[in-house]
Amino acid sequence: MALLEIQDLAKSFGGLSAVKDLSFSVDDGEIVGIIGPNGAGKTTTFNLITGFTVPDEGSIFFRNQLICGKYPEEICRRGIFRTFQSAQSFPNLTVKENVLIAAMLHQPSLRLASEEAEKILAKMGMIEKQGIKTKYLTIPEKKRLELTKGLATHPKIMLLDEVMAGLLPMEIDQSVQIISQLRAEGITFVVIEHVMKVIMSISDRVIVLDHGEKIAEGTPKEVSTMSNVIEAYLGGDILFAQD
Amino acid sequence: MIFNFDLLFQAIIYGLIIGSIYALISSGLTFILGVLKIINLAHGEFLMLAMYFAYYLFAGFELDPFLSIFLITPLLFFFGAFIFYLFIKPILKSPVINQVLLTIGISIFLQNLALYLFTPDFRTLDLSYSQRTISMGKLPIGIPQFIAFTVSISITLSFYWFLKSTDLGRSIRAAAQNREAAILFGINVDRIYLISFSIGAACLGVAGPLLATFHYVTPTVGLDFLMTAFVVVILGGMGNFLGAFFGGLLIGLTESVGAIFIPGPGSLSPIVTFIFLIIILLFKPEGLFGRRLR
Amino acid sequence: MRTWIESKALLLVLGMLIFLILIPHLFTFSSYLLHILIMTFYFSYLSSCWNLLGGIAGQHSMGHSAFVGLGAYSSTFFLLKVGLNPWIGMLLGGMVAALAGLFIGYLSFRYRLRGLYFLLVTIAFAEILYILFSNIRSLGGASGLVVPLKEEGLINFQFSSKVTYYYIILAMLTFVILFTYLISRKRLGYYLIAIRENEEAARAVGIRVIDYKLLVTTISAFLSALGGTFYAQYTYFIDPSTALGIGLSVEILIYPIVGGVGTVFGPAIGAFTLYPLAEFIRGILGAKTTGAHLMVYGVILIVIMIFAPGGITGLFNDMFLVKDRRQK
Repeated sequence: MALLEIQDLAKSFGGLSAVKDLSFSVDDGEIVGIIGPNGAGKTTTFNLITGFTVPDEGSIFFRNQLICGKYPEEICRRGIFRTFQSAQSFPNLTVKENVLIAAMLHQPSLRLASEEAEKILAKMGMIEKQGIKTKYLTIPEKKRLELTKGLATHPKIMLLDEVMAGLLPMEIDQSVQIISQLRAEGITFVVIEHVMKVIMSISDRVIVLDHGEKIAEGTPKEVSTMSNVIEAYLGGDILFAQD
Repeated sequence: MIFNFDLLFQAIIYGLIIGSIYALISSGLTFILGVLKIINLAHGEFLMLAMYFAYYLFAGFELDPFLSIFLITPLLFFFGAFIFYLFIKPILKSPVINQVLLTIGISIFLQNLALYLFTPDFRTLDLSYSQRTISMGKLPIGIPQFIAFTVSISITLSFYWFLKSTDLGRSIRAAAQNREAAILFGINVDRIYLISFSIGAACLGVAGPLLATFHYVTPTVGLDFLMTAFVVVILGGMGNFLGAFFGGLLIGLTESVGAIFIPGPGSLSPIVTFIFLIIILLFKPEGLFGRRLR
Repeated sequence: MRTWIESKALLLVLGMLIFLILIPHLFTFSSYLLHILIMTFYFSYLSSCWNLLGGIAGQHSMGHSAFVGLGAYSSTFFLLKVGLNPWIGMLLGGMVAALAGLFIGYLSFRYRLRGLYFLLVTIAFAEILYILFSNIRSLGGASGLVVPLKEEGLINFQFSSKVTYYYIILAMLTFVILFTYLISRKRLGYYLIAIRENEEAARAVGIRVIDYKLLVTTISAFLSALGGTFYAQYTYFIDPSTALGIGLSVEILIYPIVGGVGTVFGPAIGAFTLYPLAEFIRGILGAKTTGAHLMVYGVILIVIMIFAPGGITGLFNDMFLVKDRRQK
């Protein structure tokens, strides 16, 4: 079995189907991109995988173990970390404290957790900001912080929900570099993105969702030429123009 | 246990009557909650003040409380506006606990003001027809209670009609559901908040005199009704108007009928209400009828 | 990165503590003034216990009187019935309250009640207890229970001089404040603060939210109950209106909110400010008129909520502490 295996996942909210018959897998070391128009069910899928939402049907396997129905914190402990579209943090705590709390998951002592937090902050280039309360950070900084926190939880898989939204091109390049480097260090990624340049350049594989269902799967090049994908986006100009 | 149908029937009637008052009181509370998202813990004290106004208008000018409604309701409306503008508006964006404490502060102030001005004595209104009854089958129903019931029901239903069918009502519902969108549509949300809070208070301007015709008046009377009003509001769904209506009737009924079946002092019956409340909060916090302001 | 104030704070606190310890020896107090101090410490204590759950963890409860009452009634009831030593009764009361906390906490947190809903459940829970205790004859009903006079001494937890009570409650207060300070620097404190700041984000970094909420609720309940027993042994009388009920619950949370919710000293600061002030006003106004002093109290609450929403500590922070360093 693959590292992460999703089978026949389904979830509806009040009669409206958000996700239906969704199956896909993610192998160790891959970077899988998930794209689709707004409302396609991408974030819901993340919520289902990480336990923030309980699926109506289907199974989710991580490292051959069933994880659906578990609490989010349990899933995080097992090695799946997710970011939020709106970049969540602990607003009145400093950057360092945010990462510290995340680091405490695997470090028995406060001192060790603190050291690790500093190491990770330095690695992610956030060390100068460590004393600032996160409510004062800009959105890109908050997103970077979330990534940093995630690393502190020693994840095997990171689920990134639109981490590039709102970033300047230079910042996007930086983030792409960081993700590549982290992949080289052994972390698997599943990335939801609207910024096509990112998806095309870093994904090994791309999954396309529309109205809660998977309508296409393949390499970035393959997917960008599929007619149903182009249709889903109402005119493929969006895909081609970014290239 | 001897089962007395007459007793049961009487309990049902009384339950409906007091329930209609609960419905009216709770409508005001749920309205404020639904539109402004504020828990007005001073709601009981507004009621208390309305009752005292009714009492003194009767004691001093022999003005029948059912008539003094016409005076007291606008009075409470402006009082509500006054309180809103000075005290509520500044804390609309504060954390919930701060809002709660602010309204508690208002409640403490008003309660003790009444204590100081009116003394803790219980007062009752002795209307010429206080003891007269009309018969419903074999059962006598007090005339004041009966009138109170009809007025409550009519006012509550008109309120509902107002929200559904008038422009202002629609604007209020819009502002309640989505503040930003309402602003974009040109609705003056600040004014809506002011009006809504005042209307919530005005409900008590009706309920107060009605209640005073058959319930004693004392500075702490607000507290008892506040508790019940809260249960009704949660039960009916916060911000849900019809929910408050049916919830009020339901609670009135369960209290009244429950008192027959629960042995021992009647004062144990609120426990049932509170247990009920906890269960609702755990399993269906949107209330029996759902949350949104309908 | 400590400010001047923070580094001198330890000295300040130590000095304060020494001063408080010496007070009964430095001044000759009337019994009344000593009583005021004791009650101030008592409420500081209860509020600090509340603060663990409400301030640090951010779960505002308006039903803490339930725990206080369970403590007071447990120890007093068993003292009356089987002559149980009040110190043991104190522990027993603590455990009863802890169980109650566990119960209502589990129900609430398991069903994801937060904010207003949690507040309401705690109110309902406390009210149920209030009604029960007011109506059950063997628990004293509305008339309450009287603590029987025993030979004075530490064993019996009864003293003729108020000074001993003063030291006991001061010790309890010091303990709970120290406890709050210590856990805020450890994993438990950080996790609770994380839960307060953003529960979802806390889950996302592996914090077992329900477990930690339950833990702090249990601790808070246990400690609050100890205060209840102290109160019973000090005043020799408890009834639903003083040991249970919404009035007590509200009072317990007013002090932390006014003093600075979530801070180590906030609850004590709030109690030290408001309680003597309320007594003072009552002294001036209360004799002649009923309720006038509480009117002033209401006004103070209103004013503070509008103008100093962060409490006294918040005001202090705004005025004296270095502003948070923002991005350059």
